[in-house]
Amino acid sequence: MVREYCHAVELHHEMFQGVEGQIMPPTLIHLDKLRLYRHACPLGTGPTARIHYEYDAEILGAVFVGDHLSVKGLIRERYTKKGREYVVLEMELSRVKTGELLIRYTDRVILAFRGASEKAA
Amino acid sequence: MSGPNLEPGTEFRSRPRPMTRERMRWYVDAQPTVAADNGRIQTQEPTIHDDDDYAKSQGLPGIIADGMVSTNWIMGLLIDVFGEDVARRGRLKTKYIAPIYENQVIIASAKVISVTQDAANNRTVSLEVWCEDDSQKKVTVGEAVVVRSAA
Repeated sequence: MVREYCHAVELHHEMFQGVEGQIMPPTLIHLDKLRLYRHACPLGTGPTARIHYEYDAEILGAVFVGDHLSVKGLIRERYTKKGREYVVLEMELSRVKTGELLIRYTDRVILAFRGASEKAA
Repeated sequence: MSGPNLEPGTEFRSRPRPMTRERMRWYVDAQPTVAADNGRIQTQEPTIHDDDDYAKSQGLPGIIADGMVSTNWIMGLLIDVFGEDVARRGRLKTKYIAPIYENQVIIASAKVISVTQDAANNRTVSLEVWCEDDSQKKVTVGEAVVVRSAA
């Protein structure tokens, strides 16, 4: 998984592309966000496209390939600004074995870009 | 501790890379491929990052890159400069202030803002980070903190 993701974004560093002692790039938490969306909204978050607006990850410890991890998310805020609806999701990624919090992530999206464009026009 | 020049104001820049249609699609395909984790490329329904007709139906002039590509390019630059410490402790925050369109040439950049050292000789480097195109227009902006361990 790590090699596949890193290859897609040209992170060709050995710590990601090797076979031993691999570290997960913190940015991979973005895919956990998508997983949470699919779980919460199995029919999609549409009908119009989302636009990712902000990524904010605090890295508290290295995540190693082979770690058993848990991820939880909380919709912290939903608001409208300049005709656009924003959603703020806060996530925590922890190592199951120790309970250690490894990444704290805040994600901000514009929920319905198309509708916002029409409202703003 | 040897390493890059950490004087405030020091800038680091990646090589210029065009955000090609393929680069955009790699991130789109990576999402279901990583989820499936079966060794085979998976695809998904059309997105604003890989389907021009769908992008236009959403009010865009054409496909745009997923912001996470620029975030990863910034992180890649930081790793090139600072090494594994970037993935072990610190912070990366990015905001996507302008769309990145097909073939727009993008340069990831970082500038040292400050450096502090703790009692254990770990150095915390605060940086301004951004991606700009070849006309110096910023498309992604943000900040980063890298904790360089003394060990």
